[in-house]
Amino acid sequence: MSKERSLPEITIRGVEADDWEDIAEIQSARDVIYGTLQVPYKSRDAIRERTENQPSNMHGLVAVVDGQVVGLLGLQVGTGRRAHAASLGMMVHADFQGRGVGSALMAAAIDLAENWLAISRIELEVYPDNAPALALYEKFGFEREGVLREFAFRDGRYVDSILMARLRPEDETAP
Amino acid sequence: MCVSESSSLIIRGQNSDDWESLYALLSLDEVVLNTAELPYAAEEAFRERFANPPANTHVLIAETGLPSGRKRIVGAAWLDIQPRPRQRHMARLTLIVHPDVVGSPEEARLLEAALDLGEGWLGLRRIEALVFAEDARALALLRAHGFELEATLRRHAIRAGHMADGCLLARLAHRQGEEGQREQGA
Repeated sequence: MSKERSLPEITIRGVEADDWEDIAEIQSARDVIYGTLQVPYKSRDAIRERTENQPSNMHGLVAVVDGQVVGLLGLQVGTGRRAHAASLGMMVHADFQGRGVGSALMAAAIDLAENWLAISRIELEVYPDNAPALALYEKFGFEREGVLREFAFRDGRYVDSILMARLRPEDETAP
Repeated sequence: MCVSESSSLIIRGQNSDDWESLYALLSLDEVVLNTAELPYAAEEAFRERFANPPANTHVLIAETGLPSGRKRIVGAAWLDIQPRPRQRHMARLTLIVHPDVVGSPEEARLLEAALDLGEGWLGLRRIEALVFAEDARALALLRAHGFELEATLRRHAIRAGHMADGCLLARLAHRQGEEGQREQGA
């Protein structure tokens, strides 16, 4: 089984326009869509358009294994009175989950955010039944701030989301 | 200027020239403090943003008719429907009122009109509001109208020189029957 094969080296780099086809493949899996706010049957044109035109406050990272993009992460930086905060979203190819791709992406995102963008708060939403994602976020110091009721429509019904945030360690005790 | 007891309140949609009154409201320190807005807003940029709201933003204007016949805008509410396809059942509510009417029945009526529009006419299931944890008055107003605290956001935003926490509250339309009444009675 492919899941048991050990994973070759994972490279993390900024997203490029040419990545859109691999990203479209990741987003075509229902299991992946289930854990996000994406919709199925998304047009490849829309995915290409979105990949090619990232907003200036969006920092996109991808994980590459054997030349294939198998995971992506977006860090959207706030403006004005929330310029210190960023919201994070990520997804990993269904065939590559549980093999360190998410951890590699998250470690790079935290490095980028806290050591280079002076972000002191990273926030994200996760479905309460997404145990692997919750475990990943907790491993990286994200704490639960609350449950947002009926936050999304998913596969026929309204479901809650958990709001989590990680504060830059040196800011955690700041007044 | 105080709003007299005999003044009548009108809640209506936004007209294209209302942005000037909104600009005046959002130029008051007391109002800016409790929003996500910045002080010293440029008039041109403000007009650009507020004069013609996008289709998924619904704006209500609270206007008092003074005995003299003059009219005065004392508050506004925005319902921003989430644009993402899987979140179109929810909206973010923002409410501002002039310091003269803070805590007044006029403020409550503006909020109630926004809830009526959102739940009774737009079919929203979830209306959320993000306010500062220090803004006890807003928290009390929202709680009295069926909003429940869901999350406390640490270091949510800067507020007059310091990092302040935020409180995310939400009101679910289908929980406003018996449960809502029980909460209000409690």
